[in-house]
Amino acid sequence: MIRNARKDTLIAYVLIAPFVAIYGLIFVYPTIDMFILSFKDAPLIAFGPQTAEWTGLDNYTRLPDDRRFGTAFWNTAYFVLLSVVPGTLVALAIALGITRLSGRLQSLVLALFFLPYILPVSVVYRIWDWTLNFQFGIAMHLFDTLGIDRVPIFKTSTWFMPAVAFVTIWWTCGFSILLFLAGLRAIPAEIYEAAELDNANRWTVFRKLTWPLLWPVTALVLTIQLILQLKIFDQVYLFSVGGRPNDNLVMVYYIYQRAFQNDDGGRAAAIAVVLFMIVIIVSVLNFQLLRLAERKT
Amino acid sequence: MRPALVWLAAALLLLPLLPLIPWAFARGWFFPDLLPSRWSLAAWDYALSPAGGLLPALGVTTLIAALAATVSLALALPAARALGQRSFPGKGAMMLLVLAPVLVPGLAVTMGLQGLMTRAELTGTLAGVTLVHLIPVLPYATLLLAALFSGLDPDEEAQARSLGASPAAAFARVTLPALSPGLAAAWALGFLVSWSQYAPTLVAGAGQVQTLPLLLFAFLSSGRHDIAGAIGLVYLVPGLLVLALASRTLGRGLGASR
Repeated sequence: MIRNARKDTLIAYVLIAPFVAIYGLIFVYPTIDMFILSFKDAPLIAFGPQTAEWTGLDNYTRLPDDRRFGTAFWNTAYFVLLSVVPGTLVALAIALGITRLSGRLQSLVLALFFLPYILPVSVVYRIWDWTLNFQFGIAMHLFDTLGIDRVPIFKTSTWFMPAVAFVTIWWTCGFSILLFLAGLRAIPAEIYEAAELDNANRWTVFRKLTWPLLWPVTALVLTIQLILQLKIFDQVYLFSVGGRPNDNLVMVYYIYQRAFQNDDGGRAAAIAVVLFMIVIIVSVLNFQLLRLAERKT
Repeated sequence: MRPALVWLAAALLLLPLLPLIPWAFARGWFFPDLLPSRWSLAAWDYALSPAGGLLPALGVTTLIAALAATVSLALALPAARALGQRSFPGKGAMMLLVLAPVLVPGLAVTMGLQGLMTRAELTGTLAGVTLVHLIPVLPYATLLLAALFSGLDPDEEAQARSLGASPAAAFARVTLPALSPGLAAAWALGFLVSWSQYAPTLVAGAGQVQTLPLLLFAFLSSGRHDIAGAIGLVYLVPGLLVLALASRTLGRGLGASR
């Protein structure tokens, strides 16, 4: 069939038009609004960017001297360190284990691992708050048996972030496992048969075959995890209730505090813009680094 | 990892979930009892009574999730066809736009939306909440469908056309049937994503649209473990259904390859 390029392009634009219209209204417009707000001294309630005073870069220049911003920044970095690589490795190990199971068992175990992922964060919080309760939590019995002193985990700054990272991995690893399984499925079985004929041991097979062939998926999981964990909020917010919210601040939590507790829309928007920049820079850097690593393997 | 270790890991994952069940069926469960001393359906009675609000919340949540999933499919289907099967100037920018909600912190968009919703007088309405749910649902639906479209052979539709089918007929009789499992998956995923929204519902609904996650949170934060347990179990149902269907499909594929 002969195709007319200009007509084709036109059809493509017509096809995406409804999507762009709705997206523009509910996503692009509010995002731009938020960006404009970051240059103003505006309250969020009765949100009036039209009436508020322009303050130029004030909301941004105040950030380096803002102690709460510093805490939020470093806590977020710490949380990313604790959750991204460990979470990815745990998911990979579990996915490798699942592929070794036989058909029916495989789907059952897969379902088990995916179960936490469909829980709302409030239930995740309650379950772990209850399990790790200082007085009667089941985990504390385990601590007693192992001879570790009991600690009020979510009330101490040493334990808080590692514990939240652990709960986050528990909650979200199902999705990464699913991606890894899809990647493992795509590796042709003949390659493994050939390795078996060569008497390669299991570790060699993993290092020389599975790991390099799976690398694009690993890179994808790492990138997704990185972006998600930079935007950590809900868990930190919930576990901080009755604890030390100001010590546990992360970036999005600080946006929330500024916006909805201090009603300081302008400064909240400035933090949001900074976080958005960080997410973009870090994910581009991460992507380039992972591509470099791929060339080496 | 050996199968035994996988089972151990699975047990570790599941154990913390178990309290939901005794919470929902216990009549007082006190330390140091391993299990509740008395069982009852009192929590369910309360949750299902008008004061508990489980039934209306269930209806509202289902309605919003079904609407959000359907509307986003309607918007995503044509867009995904363009993205998956055609090349046009600005396609890269369009892809970036689809992915953007993943990069921008959701809370920041919600802040901006609050002003818009107030001006459009959509705050506290079902329509407003559904509209806001489209933000997280649309990227999933669009990317999933675009991937499906790019896997289709465009020549099949062209052949139907050359045999005299109208464009609409060729789409309905050739392309749509080939896409239908993927469409079902995209709808189910969209339903689940909307089903689990908390913060956007809170902001757009302004406390007047009570969905299950909101109700659940209210009972959890007031310390009513029994009612929260009951609502939590109801909340899990659609997720479990989708999970059962998905893991069967995926499990079959896995079994075949190894």
